[in-house]
Amino acid sequence: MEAQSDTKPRPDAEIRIRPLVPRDLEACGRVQYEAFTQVSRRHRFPVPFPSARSAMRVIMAYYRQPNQLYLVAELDGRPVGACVVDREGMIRGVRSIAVDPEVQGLGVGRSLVAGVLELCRDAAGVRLTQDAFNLTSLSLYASLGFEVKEPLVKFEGRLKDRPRPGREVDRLGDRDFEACRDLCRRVHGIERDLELREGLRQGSAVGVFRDGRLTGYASAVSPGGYGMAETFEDLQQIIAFAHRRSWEPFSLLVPIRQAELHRWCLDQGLRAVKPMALMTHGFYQEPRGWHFVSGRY
Amino acid sequence: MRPKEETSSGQSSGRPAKPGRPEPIIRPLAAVDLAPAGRILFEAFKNVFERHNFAPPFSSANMAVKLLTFFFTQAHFHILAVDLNGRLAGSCVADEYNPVVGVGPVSISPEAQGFGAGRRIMEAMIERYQNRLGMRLMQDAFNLASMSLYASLGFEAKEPAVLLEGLPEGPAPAGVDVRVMEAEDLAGVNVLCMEVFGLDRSNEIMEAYERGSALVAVRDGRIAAYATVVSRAGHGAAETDQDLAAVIHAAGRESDRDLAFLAPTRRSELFRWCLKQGFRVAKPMTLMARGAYQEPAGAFFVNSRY
Repeated sequence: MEAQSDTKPRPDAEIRIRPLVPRDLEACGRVQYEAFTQVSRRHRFPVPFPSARSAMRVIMAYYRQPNQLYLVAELDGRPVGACVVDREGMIRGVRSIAVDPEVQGLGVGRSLVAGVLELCRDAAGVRLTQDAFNLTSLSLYASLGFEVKEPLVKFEGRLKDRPRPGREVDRLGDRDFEACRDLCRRVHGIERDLELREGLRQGSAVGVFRDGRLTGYASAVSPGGYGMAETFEDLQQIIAFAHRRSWEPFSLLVPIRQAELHRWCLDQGLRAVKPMALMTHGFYQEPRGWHFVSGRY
Repeated sequence: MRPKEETSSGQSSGRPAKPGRPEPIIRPLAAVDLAPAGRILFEAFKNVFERHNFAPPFSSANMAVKLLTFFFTQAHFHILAVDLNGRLAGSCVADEYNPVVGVGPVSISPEAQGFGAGRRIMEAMIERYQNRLGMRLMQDAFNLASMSLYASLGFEAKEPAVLLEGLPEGPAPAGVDVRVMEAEDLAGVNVLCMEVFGLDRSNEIMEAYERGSALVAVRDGRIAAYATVVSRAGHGAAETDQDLAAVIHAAGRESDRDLAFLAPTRRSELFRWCLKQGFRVAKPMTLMARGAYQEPAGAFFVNSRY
């Protein structure tokens, strides 16, 4: 380990995990920004936050959501680590796990993730997605009992063929909630209401109906949402529908063991932006259908 | 100027050549190519590894030339060369030992990237082995250009993996005896290999036995695990993660320098055991397969091709 300067905390410094309070916002924004910027730049992958201020705005948005808990790791009374975790759901997603680069190697990340697991002990499982080039986080999560389930690639761009969605795909409304739940239970063995409710509220939820039956849906076609379908064609329909409704480049987290989907993304001219991995702790069922994941899981 | 396409296993994300662009020409590698092809192998990997800040596999051009020369002198390896504008632009090695062909290393000179040489050499490999059971390779996961190229050529991502380095620091798993592979183990080892991989790798196993590098773990009088050698040049398979851990541990005990091997991360128990023993993760990789593939039915680690 490198020599520690006077400003650096001692290795035996006390680590405390607690919920975020408003006065942490600035420090946590900086921690999120610094941590992700450093590791992404080191390996030459895109940086997720353009500035500490933008990271702070993201934290603020999470902080306002009642079903999200923002955790802070304190070292000798100073906020040096942070993450967001779902407060509800059978499976809790964790995101934006960050530790101040200045204090990495002192066990802050380990305490933080252990704190998340402790907090979620009544849930069936905890999941996260991780940047595959970040070997420190891979090793940390694995040593705390997270298991690698799927290699992912984040894709970005527009679909070259501009596929025309069929009539069987449409926006979803509140009345479709139960059908989505049933499908999710069949494909993943879990209920996943949090993002679904969000998607229904925001109007980003999309579904495919065949013979009056829901055969695929997405809470949103973006890293903020997840999608699943009984057939590859139905998943393509969902993506095509979302694609048609927006002019913006979109991005998608694709589990690439679904070789046809991987190839289709490439054929459509989407650009592979970074390699990632889906990691799970606790309950997991191999998906019984086609799917893409959100940044949570 | 045209931006360089990223590459990796040192190769270009390659597109088919357009009119007016130099056409890549494929031919078998000749002895006279070994030195320049080795230099290209060194440069191409150095380029992409340093770009993403991972330690390159070759510390010198000489080391890459030596490796390529070794492959060249072995009967069961076949090496293709690719020329661009009459100059050597890269090479690709194939291991023809088993019914499933292992591909790699693939390298295209950094200056020759972006002209479809990587794609052409892979297409030639696919053509050459179209009657084989399948083809496989290990790809550096940070190299999205090579991952995308292979995927577009029909290779499918099967397993995320990592290069692990180090020596075991903890106690050996209890209850498993590990010893050097003997002639009478060969039948049992081949059966275990078939059970776990669904593949015949008997040539590879025989060679390792003859070299004296192969290990087996015996539990209740049965072969529970084997490794041809615990390194990037070898593979191993086992009934359980613990059996394979015992083999890795034994190899570490006999070694005076760090072990380095490629472990699939979805085998969570083995991966966790390795981390607990102090092995460090050195780079992320992906096992990709074209043609026949069976989900491994047991614990395993792979060599630098599969």
